[in-house]
Amino acid sequence: MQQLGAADISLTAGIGMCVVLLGAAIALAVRTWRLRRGTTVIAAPTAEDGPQRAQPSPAEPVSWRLSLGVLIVVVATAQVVHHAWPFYALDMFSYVPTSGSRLIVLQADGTAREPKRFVDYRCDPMPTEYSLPAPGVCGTWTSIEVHDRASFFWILRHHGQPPPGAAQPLLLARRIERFDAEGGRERVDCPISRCVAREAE
Amino acid sequence: MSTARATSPWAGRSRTVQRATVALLAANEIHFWLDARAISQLSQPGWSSPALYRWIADTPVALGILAGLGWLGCLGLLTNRAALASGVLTLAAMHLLGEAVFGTMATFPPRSFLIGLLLAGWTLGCWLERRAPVWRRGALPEALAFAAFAGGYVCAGLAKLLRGGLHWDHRPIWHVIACSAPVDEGRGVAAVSAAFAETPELAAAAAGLTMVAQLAMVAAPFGRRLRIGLGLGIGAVHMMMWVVGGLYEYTAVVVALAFCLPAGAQGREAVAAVRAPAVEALGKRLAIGAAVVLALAAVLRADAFFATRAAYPLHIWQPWTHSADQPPARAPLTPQERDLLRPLVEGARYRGYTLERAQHREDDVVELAWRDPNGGQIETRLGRPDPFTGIRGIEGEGPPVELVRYLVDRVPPKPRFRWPPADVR
Repeated sequence: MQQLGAADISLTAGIGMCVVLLGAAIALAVRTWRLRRGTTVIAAPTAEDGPQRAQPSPAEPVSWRLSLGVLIVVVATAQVVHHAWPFYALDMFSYVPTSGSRLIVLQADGTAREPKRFVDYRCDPMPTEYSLPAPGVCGTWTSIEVHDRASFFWILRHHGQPPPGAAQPLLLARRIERFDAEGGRERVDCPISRCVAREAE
Repeated sequence: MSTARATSPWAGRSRTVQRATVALLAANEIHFWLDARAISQLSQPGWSSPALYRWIADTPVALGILAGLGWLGCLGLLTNRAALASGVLTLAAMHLLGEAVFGTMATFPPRSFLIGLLLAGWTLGCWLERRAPVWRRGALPEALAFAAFAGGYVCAGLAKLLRGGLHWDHRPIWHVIACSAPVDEGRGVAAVSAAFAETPELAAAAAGLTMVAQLAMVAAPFGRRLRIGLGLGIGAVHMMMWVVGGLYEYTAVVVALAFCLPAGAQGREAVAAVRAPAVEALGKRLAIGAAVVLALAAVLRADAFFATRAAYPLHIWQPWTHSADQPPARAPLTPQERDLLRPLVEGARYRGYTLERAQHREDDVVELAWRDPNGGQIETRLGRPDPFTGIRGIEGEGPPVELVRYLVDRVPPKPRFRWPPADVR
């Protein structure tokens, strides 16, 4: 990952705050303009409101101040606590990655397929953890863990003995793609295990 | 508790669609939390959290009761009975359940929090509406639910801006494509995905659009038209990520449709029109019956999922997220770090467990992979930023308590422990 310097961070934070404040200011201005024009429709009285309900004024603010307050409280609380349901800073995809990877199976002709397209896996060696292969073999890499887990546990749950006529040789591999800021990219298929499996119907 | 039954003052239309959306999303989330145990294996919750959460995570009956209460609250929301009490009940149950269950998951599902915010905003709106004078009662549940939901997206946008900032370019989209876009999808989807993967400018535009759409949600409270535009914009971003990167997220699309679309007014009217008294009475009986069945199912289901947990009383894991400045990368340990870990070196054995691999998961996390006596693999983690050790085994096997205890002895739980220690960083 490209490292951010202190100057970058402060500049970015400054720009971010400006963007947020500018957005809020524009929205506020639009809101005020609409209220002055009297185009904001508040409500028609309903039967449950009873006779004491006053006729709404066209310029009556309904709930935008309250809504804005709730939004600010949500954002501020999330920054403070980071995660405490239902608050969360939602920063899981906030970094700038330099690689991405996933588990695939390669058919004999080199075609990449999703592991979930096959069942009755028999692998040698049987993969024991989604994080394979170890760093150093194929360098460092990143992944979206939930996808890795789904593929890995699919293979574990569908291990078996494919019928001889339907068995296909497969190579379980981690497909790693590395990319840089200039738009360059490199793809490596890092082998994990040799398997035979049957294509799912 | 009849206040929340009041129709929306926006032309007096029913809020059935929005209420049903909140209730069904929350109910589905509870189901997901229980179901996620199937893939999250045997990780132990152990945040530096109150013992209550740890007790809940270890007690199948408690999990089942909480899920049942949460579903009961959802049912109340859905059927518009005691809306405020139902909202509070669902929030409380989901908070306890979520805090206990997230400790067992590999990552936080962001959707869970957005739905929580939606529910919290709705409940707050119901409460405030009860307190407000009649003439001021507005569409508070709808407005506050969407405002809280929008707040979640502003958080996401801010995080991207502050962490990625000036370097936020094509790489986040390429990362998603590399990690999750199906490799053998149909020709149409593959062509779209390939176009983004081969054109940095296109990917950078998509990444920028995502951040801007999230940040722009700050304007959501300022008007219905803005809300419509922003909600649909966020929904469109999620649809784009689904097509381009295979990253499927439905919540924002559903919320945008229910809370933002002008067409929703017609839908609300249509739903309200079929609510005849006889239908309501029948619905009430069905709802009570369904609540009982759901509560029982929750207890049974939770018991099945969590039955193995009671045997593993140690909780020293903190839920791990991709929230660090660094992406989760694996890298070899430095010689200095290896010295610190001794005698934990590859090949070391402890009570039948063999350390197979020691590596960095992130800069400040060390991942230890162990082979257990039965040939299964166990993973432990050290560091970041509070003390924790993650224990995960292959499905169906239990985490080795003795190994956990051994590691606990090595990793002092207090004070805050960082790996590696500051003097060697």
